[in-house]
Amino acid sequence: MIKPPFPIDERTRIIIMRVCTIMYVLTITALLVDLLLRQMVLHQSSDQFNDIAMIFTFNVIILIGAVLFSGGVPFLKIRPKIVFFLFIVLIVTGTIFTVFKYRLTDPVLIFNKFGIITAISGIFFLIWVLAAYFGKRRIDKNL
Amino acid sequence: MTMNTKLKLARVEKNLSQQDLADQVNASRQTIGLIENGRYNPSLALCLKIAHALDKTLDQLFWEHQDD
Repeated sequence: MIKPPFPIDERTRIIIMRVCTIMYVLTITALLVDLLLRQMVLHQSSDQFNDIAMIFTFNVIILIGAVLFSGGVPFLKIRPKIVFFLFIVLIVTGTIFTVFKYRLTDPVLIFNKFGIITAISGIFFLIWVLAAYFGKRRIDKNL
Repeated sequence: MTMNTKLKLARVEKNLSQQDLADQVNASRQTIGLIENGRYNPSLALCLKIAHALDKTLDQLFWEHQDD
């Protein structure tokens, strides 16, 4: 094992983790603000910020999945009603955002977008449920 | 006697500086100082290492009696 150049004890480890967490949150928030600015204010085309959008999206998916896998949130103990409510909030937020972004007025188009958003949100939720399930199994195995 | 005082007394009894104790338990001098000042709560693992280094039990160093 590589020895660090300076002594790290449990207290300094906690400080480093706290600072890294804060900086991560600030960075993700800055990415989100940047994305919204480019879309809503500067009206840039999506190919100009696709890379930032992908970094942000994968980061959030993996963050939530990692928290669930490591047992940070007892997802499987959350009432199904709450999970369903969160799912609906995700779909509704995505649909509203899409409608405003593309200035959609045609109900058929809106319904199509709604379907795509539902499918994508469903995939995200499936990934998170699987992460929570396999994380719980891993923890139970170690007990 | 508070936990902090007990820890400091036990360290002084053994003629150890904060740095000496820190070296023995793989912590930093600042951490030992903060524990003695009551400004940092060590983990159980670190408490055990400190108790072992000072030849004391956990109760002798870290137990706090609540006054009635």
